[in-house]
Amino acid sequence: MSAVSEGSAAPATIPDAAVTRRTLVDVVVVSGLVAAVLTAPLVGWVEVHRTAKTARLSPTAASELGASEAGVDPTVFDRLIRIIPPHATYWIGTSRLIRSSTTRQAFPAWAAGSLLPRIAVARPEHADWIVTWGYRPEGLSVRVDDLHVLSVHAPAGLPVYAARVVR
Amino acid sequence: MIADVARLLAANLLFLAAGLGVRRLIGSTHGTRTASGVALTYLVGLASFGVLAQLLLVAGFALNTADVIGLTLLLLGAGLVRRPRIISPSPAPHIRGGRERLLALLAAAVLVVVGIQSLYEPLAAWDAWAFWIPKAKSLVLLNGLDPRFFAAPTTANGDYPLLLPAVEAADFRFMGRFDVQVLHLQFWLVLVAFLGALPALLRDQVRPVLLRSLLVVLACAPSLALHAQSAYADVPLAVFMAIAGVLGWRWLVLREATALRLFAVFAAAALATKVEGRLFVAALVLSLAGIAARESARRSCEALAAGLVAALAGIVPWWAWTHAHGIHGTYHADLAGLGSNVHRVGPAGASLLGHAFDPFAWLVLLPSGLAALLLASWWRTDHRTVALVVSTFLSSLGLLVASYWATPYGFEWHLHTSADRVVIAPVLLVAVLTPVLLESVLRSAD
Repeated sequence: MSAVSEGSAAPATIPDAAVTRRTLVDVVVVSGLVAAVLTAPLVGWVEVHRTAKTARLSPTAASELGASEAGVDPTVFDRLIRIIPPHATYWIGTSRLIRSSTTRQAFPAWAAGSLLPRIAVARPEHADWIVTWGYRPEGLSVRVDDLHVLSVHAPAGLPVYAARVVR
Repeated sequence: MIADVARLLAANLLFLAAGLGVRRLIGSTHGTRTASGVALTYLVGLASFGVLAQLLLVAGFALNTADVIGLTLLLLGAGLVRRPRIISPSPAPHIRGGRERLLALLAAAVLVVVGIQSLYEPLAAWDAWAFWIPKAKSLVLLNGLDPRFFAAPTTANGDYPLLLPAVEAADFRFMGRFDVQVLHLQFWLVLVAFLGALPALLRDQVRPVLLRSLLVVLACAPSLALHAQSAYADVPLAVFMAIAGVLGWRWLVLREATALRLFAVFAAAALATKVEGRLFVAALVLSLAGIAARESARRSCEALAAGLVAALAGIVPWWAWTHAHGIHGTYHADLAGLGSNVHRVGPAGASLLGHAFDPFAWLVLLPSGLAALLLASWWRTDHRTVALVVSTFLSSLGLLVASYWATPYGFEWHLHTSADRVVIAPVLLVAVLTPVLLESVLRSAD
């Protein structure tokens, strides 16, 4: 019986062309189903395996995995939140001493979400606070005080600095 | 976690209610009184909410819980004022054999394990944590759109439209906190609703076995589940485009006026979801208009008008807001370099086709679509559907290739980090119209 005929009674004399068409459609449908049936256990196994792995993560670890995988210590931002007041603006910079460009890009990108409602600005002189990773903020074009040095778990132990801009 | 799931589901029930109103307002009776109809209603509600939420945000609303409830109930109410259309009885349920039951169970099992994983999915995908979810958080913490955040040097792709952040912000508002793990359930709901909604749009046109095989293959396609769990906008965009594709086809071939109205809703949603939506909607609208032009200029104008309405609702207000606040994306087509970068065209096209035809990502969805196109073309069973699929797929792919050709980013990096995702919409669009092509071949053989 054809896979697509739904069991309908086929006329006794079907032209060859019609049989060919049905057979070819059968081939298309069955090949799709065979691929799906063969793949489904694999997809299921991958998902179960991932669930077994990710379910072990604490909610905090799961919500910070992106930062950790990019080489950024997410706990730094928890400490920055306690230092920089909400709705303040900040300028953020990273040192070239941090070798990985991925990590260098991830640091300000992670800050965008985790430091909200604090908002980043493009220039240090427009900021209320300066956040730098890997170098002291005193060398920038603005005068700062209330300097905080935050130890970082990765990489290379370079600290994060947070300082208030003096107006 | 359970409380967060319940609250996220409560927000989604409101999207469903909004969909009920919009469908009644439009006069859509696709799949009424079936579970599939409910899935379509949910997607209509999600799309409508997302588009209007973006408009509200641009207009200065905070999109707080009251705004979300008010907007969804307003949409529900708008539908209730219209007299319901007389609904023809739904087709008798098809009695399934043992083999079909087994296939359905297999697909359901895959979706269930994907759903469970979505509850535990960590926030690890770069774009999700770097800008999609921060944008949603900003809408909550800064009480609506704050141009300072979207223009900030740390906010990537500040010009990307707002449907997804608006939906996520609504979820966060209902949860009362930022549970970024449970948020992944939102994407699973979109995936399940997509698979659930297809029968409502295709069941009256293709025989059940074709429809079921499509659903089983889609459910088991590794890339669809994987990308849905990434919390990126690519799967919602592809879902909106695929549904818009089926609706466009219904308007073109079945001459359904309601289908074109729903098409405009989903096209607007695609435009409000991601920048690539502009390419795909342009490809689909122009293909529809071009094919309809062979019938009459009026029909062609109808398709263009639907596209225009979608653009006016889905992207123009957001575009105006971003320009008014000097917010620009980082992608600027490098037109001056096109001549010296011709060598990019080949690798870009090859990479996109490679991902689209990758059996480990999409099984045999595209080869099946290609085979269906060849069969329908060879026996000339459905030239309009063939033209629609070929034109939309090739023009979508062409526009994507042009984007890579003119990319201001490192070409290899850009291609490597996005080609597998941008092909989802064209792949799904071909996939959902494959049963229609196969049905035309079978009908010609009956």
